[in-house]
Formats: sequence, C-alpha cells, structure tokens
Amino acid sequence: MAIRVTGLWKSYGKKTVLQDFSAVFEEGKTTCIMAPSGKGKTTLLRILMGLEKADRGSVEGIKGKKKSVVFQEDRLCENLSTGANVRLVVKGKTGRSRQFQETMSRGFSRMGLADCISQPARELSGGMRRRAAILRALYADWDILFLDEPFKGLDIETKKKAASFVKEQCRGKTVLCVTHDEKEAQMLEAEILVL
Amino acid sequence: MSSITADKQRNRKGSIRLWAVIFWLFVWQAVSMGIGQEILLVSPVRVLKRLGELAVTVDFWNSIGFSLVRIAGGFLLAAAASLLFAGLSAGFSKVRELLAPAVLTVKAIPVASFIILVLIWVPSRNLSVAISFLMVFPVMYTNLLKGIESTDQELLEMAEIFQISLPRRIRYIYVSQVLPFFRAGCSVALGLCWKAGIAAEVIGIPDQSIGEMLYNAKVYLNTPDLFAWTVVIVLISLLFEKLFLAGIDWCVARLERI
Repeated sequence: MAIRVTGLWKSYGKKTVLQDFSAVFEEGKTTCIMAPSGKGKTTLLRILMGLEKADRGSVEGIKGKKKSVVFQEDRLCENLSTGANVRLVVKGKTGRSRQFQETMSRGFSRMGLADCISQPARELSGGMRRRAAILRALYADWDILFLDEPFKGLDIETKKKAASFVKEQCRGKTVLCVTHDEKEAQMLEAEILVL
Repeated sequence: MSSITADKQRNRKGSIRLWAVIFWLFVWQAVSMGIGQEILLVSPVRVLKRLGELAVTVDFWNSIGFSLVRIAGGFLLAAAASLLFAGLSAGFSKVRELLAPAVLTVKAIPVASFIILVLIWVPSRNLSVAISFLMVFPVMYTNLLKGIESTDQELLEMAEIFQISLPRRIRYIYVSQVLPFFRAGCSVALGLCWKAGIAAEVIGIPDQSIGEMLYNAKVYLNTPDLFAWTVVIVLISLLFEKLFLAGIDWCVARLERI
C-alpha cells in the first residue's frame, strides 16, 4: 500500500514549515525528498513517523507498519557497544542468534566498521557513529525506512560505500529519505521529490 | 578519551590527599597536647589506642552489627521505595502530585521531631530503621525523579520508533541515564542516614547499639570512647558507601550486557 499524504500543514508559532503538502510515496520504492535547509524536510519525516502531529491534513498507509529510521543525529546509546546498539533494536532473542551475528558482522565489514563491533559507541568518531546508526536502522525489523540526511558528515568514498550497502539492503522496500544533496539521491537511485 | 582523563584529573583535584590528613592529625595532636586535658580534647594517639582496646571486645562488634543492619536496612528500603515511587511519579503525574507535599514535609521537618514521634510508634530497637528511611527517601526520590525526567528525549524517540520494549528501555536507556543521579543521591543520603540514624539511637538508646555507646560516653564524660566511636561511624559510613556504589556499578555493568 502506498503512503498517501494529503494537505499537510504544520506551523511553529508564526512560521509555517509545511503548507498544504500532498504526495504519494509508492510502496517498495526509494524516494528522496529534496529541499534546502529549513524547508520542513525533517518536520515532514517526523510527522510521517508519528513523532509530531500535523496541524491539518492526513497521512495514510503508515499505521500498523514497522518503522526504522536514521535520524539526523546518531542517537546511539553511548554506554553500549556498537554491536549492542544494533542488537538493541532487534526484537526477542534474534539478536543473539549465530545467524544474525554473522549477518551483522558482514554488514559491519561492508561499512568499514569490522573492528568496532565491541567498541563502546562513545569511543567512535563522527563518521563511524553515522555508519553505526545506518547499520542499526537496516538491521531492525521494518516495513518503512526513514532516512534523515543519512550520509551527513561522511567523506565521499565512505558515502559511496554506505549508499551502495543501503541500496542493496533496501531493494524492493519502501524508503523515504530527506536530503539537500542531489548526489546522495542519485547514489540511492531514488525517485526525487522536491518539497 | 580526553573527557575520561579530564574526569580523572577533576576527581584527583577533589580527592583527599594523605599529606593533608596527616597535617590535620598533627594539628589535632598538638592542640590536644597544648590543652593537656583529655576530657576536653583527647589526642588522636589516645583515640587509636582506645579503638584498639574496643576492637578486641565482642560488644564492640555486636554494637556495630546492630547499628549497621538497621541503618543500612533503612537505607536500602528507602532506596528501593524511592526507585519505585520515582518510576511511578515519572509515569503518572497524579502520583507525583500526591507525593509532592509528603516529600516536602519530610524534608522540612527537623530530624529530632521525627525521632521523638517515631519513638512513640515503634520500639527503640527499630527506631534507626525508620529514621534512616525517612532521611534517605526524599533525597533519593527527588534525585531519581530528576534523573528519569532528564533522560535523553532523542533516545526515547529512537526507542519509540524501533518499538523497543519497556524492560529493554529501562535496562539499556534509563539505567545508564539515571545512574549518575542515583549515585549522587546515594552519596548525600548515606551521609545523612548515618548521622540521623546514630542520633536516633542516642535518643532512643536501644541496647547494644552504637548510639548507646555514644550515650554512655556522654554520661560518663568518656571523651576517648566518644571519639573512638565517632571514628568507627565515619569509617563504617565510608566503607558502606564505597561497597554499595561498587555493587551498583557491578550490577549495572552486568545488566547492560546485550
């Protein structure tokens, strides 16, 4: 089922960030919502994720679906290891299974984090934290993945590697990404929607 | 890593250095010798000697055991109750509103009033349990509630999106966020509960308690005993705090394994 957004309005005080926004996001596709900074990209994503309420308008096709996200901030648990941050979002005992550990190790290697699985998140560099946040989002159980500036702070080579891995993991799934960088949208081979 | 080093340096700056302790012991010894009257100010050497004499008696250890079990018991009960009620208050505003006047009242009432009042309700044997509980609960409750409320909202949003279960949220998000508040609360509350607990025993005079020993020292103007028992109280209080906090850190480290 596609995600249908109709007539979305959102204001903070006197500032209107979303003005009668409507769109349809096809199921199983990656869509990049592009706009310059401060144009309501993150607000739109937060409304779609259910973290904020719109002043007016409706969103259909998300209720009851499992969500995953790469926030603009990394939002890692500093006290936990990088691997534990990923396992934290995996339901039940799956995270401890050998199969999952192997899959996770491959993912960490692909993202250049092979040596960081047992390292506490607080000891990671900015780029490492970003990639760990991406891995966490990918390994969670999800139907819709929200990406808010997912490659922010990564150098171009790392960005390419990360984008290639994300693209591979998200094939045939619904992904909504917000960015202001057109190259990132191209790397993800996403449909582009300008806000 | 740099922040860890900075923390260590800060801790070192605030820590008690041996040379400073020795300096103050010398000052104490000198003043005591200057006064020349044991009843007014006993010397540290005499206190140490008296402590040695007491330590070989069964009564000494019985008194320590009696007071330790009750004051530490009151502390542990209060810590558990404050954890429960802080959790409930954070989740339900009505519980918080209900507890607010009670906590404020307990904080404001002088400990001596409590001691006399509680002495009417409970036997003097268990007075220090109740007093220790009453001293610890408001401090721990306030600290824990503050800790829960200052939990990183961004992490809670993350937990909501990933549908992380409540037990997991508590174990991996709340515990680490609340721990510094809990530790700070423990440090303050432990000092308070020992002071108030012993004061309660001095007033209630339960048999075989440290409070009774202090009371006897007062009645017989036995200054060496008074100082020796005071040293014992300070040492037990410090030792208990160190052991308790180390135990908490050990439990948290095990709890956070995933």
